[in-house]
Amino acid sequence: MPELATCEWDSAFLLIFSPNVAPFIYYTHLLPLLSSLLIGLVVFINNPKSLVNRVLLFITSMFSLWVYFDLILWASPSPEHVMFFWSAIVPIELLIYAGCLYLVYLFYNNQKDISLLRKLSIAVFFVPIILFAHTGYNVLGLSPDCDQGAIEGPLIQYMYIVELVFIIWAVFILLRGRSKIVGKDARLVALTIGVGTIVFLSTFTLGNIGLVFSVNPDYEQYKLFGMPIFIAFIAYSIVKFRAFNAKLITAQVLTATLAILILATLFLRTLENIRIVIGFTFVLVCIVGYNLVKNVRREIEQREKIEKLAGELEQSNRRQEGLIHFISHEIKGYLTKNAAVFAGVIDGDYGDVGADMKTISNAALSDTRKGVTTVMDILNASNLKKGTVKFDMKPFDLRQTVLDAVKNESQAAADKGVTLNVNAGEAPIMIKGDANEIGGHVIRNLVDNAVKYTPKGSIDVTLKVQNGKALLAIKDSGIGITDEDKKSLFTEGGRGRDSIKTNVSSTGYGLFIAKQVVDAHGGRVWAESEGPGKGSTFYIELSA
Amino acid sequence: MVDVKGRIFFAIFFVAIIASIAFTYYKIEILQDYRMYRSDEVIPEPTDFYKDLFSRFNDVIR
Repeated sequence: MPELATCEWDSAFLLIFSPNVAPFIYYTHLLPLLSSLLIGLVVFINNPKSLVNRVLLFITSMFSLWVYFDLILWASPSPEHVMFFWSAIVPIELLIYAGCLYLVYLFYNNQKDISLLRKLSIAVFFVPIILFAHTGYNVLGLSPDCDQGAIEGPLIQYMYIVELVFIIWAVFILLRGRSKIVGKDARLVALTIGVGTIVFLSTFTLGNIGLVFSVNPDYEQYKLFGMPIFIAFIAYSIVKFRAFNAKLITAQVLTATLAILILATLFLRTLENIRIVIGFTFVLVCIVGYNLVKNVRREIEQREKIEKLAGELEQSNRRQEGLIHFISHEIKGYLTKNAAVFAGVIDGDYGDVGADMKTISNAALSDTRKGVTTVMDILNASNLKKGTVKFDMKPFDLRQTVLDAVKNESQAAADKGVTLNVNAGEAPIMIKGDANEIGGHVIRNLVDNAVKYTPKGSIDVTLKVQNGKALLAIKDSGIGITDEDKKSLFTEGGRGRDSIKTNVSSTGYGLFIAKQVVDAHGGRVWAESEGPGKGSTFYIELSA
Repeated sequence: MVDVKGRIFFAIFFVAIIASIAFTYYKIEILQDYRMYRSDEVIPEPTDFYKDLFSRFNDVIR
């Protein structure tokens, strides 16, 4: 049984409140304790399932426990308490460092948990502390001098070294782990948290170094100010990047914490001379904080509104797409049946009909086929947009596809008195792609358009290989394109303002589909025109 | 989230830490087994342990 302490101290209320302790000590301890606990709890309550939020709560809790233990050491007159809390503070302190290292790791691992091996490599440093915390290696014993308290053993020196190792480790993660993070904002959040953590730990360690080298015992008090700095970094990451999934309430709490921290200094008896400065700082923090909270509130409200509207719009779009797809599919069925009936009437499947009836049936069949084409365009555009079209990518001869498309349109061109010329060379031009899609929805579409929008004159279709790419040019002497129309040419439902006069059955989907198909083949489609009445040239470039 | 292996690791880790602190509490607060130096005693430096450890290590090497 050791001798009883000879210190004539008053007993401490709740182990920490004693008249023997200077107000300065309470200021340096209680405020970081309360502010750290507050921020840890607020962030945790905001999203309890988030791993980083849990780790932050763990760090702030361990820090608060450390501060509480340290206050006991300042206030308690009991030698047993001094010995125990001096010993117990060692694993708690290292847990703060390990928690911080874990937090940095999480932010540099896209907020996902780290491997068991990494956890073990951090935990292995705790083995000597777990084994020897209760022994004289940790705290050698009590000093006969009341002010000195306990005498630190080699285990505490070991702890200081491990703390330095953990700081260097965190710096190493910061320098090497950047490339693993996905997203610019995530990288900036990780950097902010990483730097804040390192500053916090370094401030703490600097206080310990001051203690070890006995520079000035008061310096040790400043190490706790690393926590408000850490909180400031967390505040910045929350306000700027919405880190920890925290919202407005956190910004309010953070501002209030900073204000309380500054306000509390006014009650320190030893700081008479700087009260005016502190008062001014407090007012400044209140003004800046008020504006910060106001701006953050506005930004969050706007962001949430936009996100809500975007979600609603997306849902509405999806519903509309589905409806269009359904209606188009149904109409196509009816039109196809109608076309079959009219064809049957013309072919005499329902018996002999008069010349008038045949003329009407021919017109009806033609219109029905146009209707089917329109519906098919809408359906194709819808499928391309949804990404449900599967392309059968195989090598094929583009030259032959072009010749076939031109041949199909030659009768229509001849009927209008438009000359349709083709120059595709003699040799096959092999490319890889879906021959049906390229031939049917791209080339046929463009040649068909050229015929429709050229009232008189000629159309020149040229195919050649240029810089390792197949380049198809369809040049017409038609109505031309205005600069304004060029902007909406390849968009869904996009039609030229005057195009409807020339082509009444235009759906506005043809060029949109052509572009979607060419894009899916890694190619390029564009149009050039010198203006209305000066013709136009459509180009398609595909990898040969 | 932390997987099953991670949870087992944390459980063992924190049980070990708490057990270590609990044992320290038992030894100091209950058994009152700790050293109190007298004014006339030479109080050792924490680094003495390392000096002693390394001198022994040097002796072994010699």
